[in-house]
Amino acid sequence: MNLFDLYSELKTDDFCFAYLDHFSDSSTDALIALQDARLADKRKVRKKISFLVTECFQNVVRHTEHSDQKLDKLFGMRSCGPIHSISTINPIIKSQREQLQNSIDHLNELSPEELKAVYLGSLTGNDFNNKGGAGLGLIEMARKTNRVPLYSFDSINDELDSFTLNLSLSENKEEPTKESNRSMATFYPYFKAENVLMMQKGNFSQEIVVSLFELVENNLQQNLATARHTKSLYLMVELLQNMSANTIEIDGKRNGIFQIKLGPHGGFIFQTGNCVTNAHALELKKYIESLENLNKIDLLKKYNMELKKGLSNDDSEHRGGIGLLEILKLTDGNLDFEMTQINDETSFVSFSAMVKN
Amino acid sequence: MQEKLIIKGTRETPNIELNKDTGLFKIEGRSLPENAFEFYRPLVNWMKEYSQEPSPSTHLILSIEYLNSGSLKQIFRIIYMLEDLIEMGSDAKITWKYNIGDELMLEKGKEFKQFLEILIDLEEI
Repeated sequence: MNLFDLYSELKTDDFCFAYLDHFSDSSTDALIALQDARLADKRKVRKKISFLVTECFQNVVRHTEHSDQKLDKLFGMRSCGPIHSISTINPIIKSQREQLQNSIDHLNELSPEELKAVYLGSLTGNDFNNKGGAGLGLIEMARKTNRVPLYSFDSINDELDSFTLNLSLSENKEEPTKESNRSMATFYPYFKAENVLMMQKGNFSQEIVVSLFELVENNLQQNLATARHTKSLYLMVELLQNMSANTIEIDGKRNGIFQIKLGPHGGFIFQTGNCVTNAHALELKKYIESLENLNKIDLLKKYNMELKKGLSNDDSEHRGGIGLLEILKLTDGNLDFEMTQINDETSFVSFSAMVKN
Repeated sequence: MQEKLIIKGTRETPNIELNKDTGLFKIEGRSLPENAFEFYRPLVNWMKEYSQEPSPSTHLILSIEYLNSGSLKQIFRIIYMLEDLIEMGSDAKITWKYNIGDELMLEKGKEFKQFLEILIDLEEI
């Protein structure tokens, strides 16, 4: 599955998000900022979602058992109209399975009033879970979403199970149907196979780009040496702002898809994809090809020229010009551009880029 | 003209302090605005006025943590304006600060040194 295939699969979703690497409390604030940015006009549900995001993400941070498998955890979200889902996957010890299962099944048998009583009981320490936390967390999830989370277990090995939890929340009385209740967990096998560390599909407004920047900054600072992380962040911002500036805007939304994959030698591959007019796609292709044919000296000359274009009073950001040059300089050959024609008017364009060592 | 131009930094834009009396200019923090041309416009306008009657010496201290290419272009423009001050007989210099190990900002500083005549001191912090 390439980026266009994934984009097509998620086409009707307003927002999709997957996070598979580096689960720590320090990422929570950036995740909340991302919800604030994307749900700015949905105040009522924003608060609930932010609460559930914190609860679910920290559940993974606190209740994960170590496994030898790579990308053994997932935090995912999908929003489609008034229906929102949050999914988590994490390894647990097999012996915890029965207790978890009983806890969730028990919630299913309770009326809202009984649920409230159990909630109050758990606040005073009468918890399901003597390890603390998960019991109360599950009750809160059920109360906030008005429905008990769905769950499943998959065996990892003789000692560990992979625990999948899926919450769905409706902004109105509409019950999530099988069709509307979409879980990011469905894509987990793809993310694992493709070494995807993070994926987001939806509107890439400046506020969302900055929140995403902060989330990745926090992650990269802890994973890469300074030299590599600042270059990687620079590349990411250029790709995201380039996508945000050039994508076809629909209902004020600048839609696109963004993915970070683990590349060779510990580097990160950044991918963006969005829709543009066919004419724009061809123009972009020609421009990139003309730059790719330049040697390093000519590229620097071109770069200097582009910088000087900014000296005139009326140059209000020739988008794509200097940004693409920066991307080419940073990647030094590690840049792929693809275009897929969707119909007579629109093409999907994608960039795949990695900072050159 | 205003004696000072102060623009408070945000999570995506830098802190800016320009002082006409001392000739000390500071740009510090992140610079990731969506439209850098618009963001830096007040600064460019202030500098246009400043260049009519500049301080005998101007010192711009740049301490940028992260930036985007649009900001880079505007910073280039601002430095270019300082070069004009030199041509008009005033003193001007740049201190380009970068975090230890930050190869990107070091490279950007070196490129600017290569493209411009003004004195740019690269300082690791």
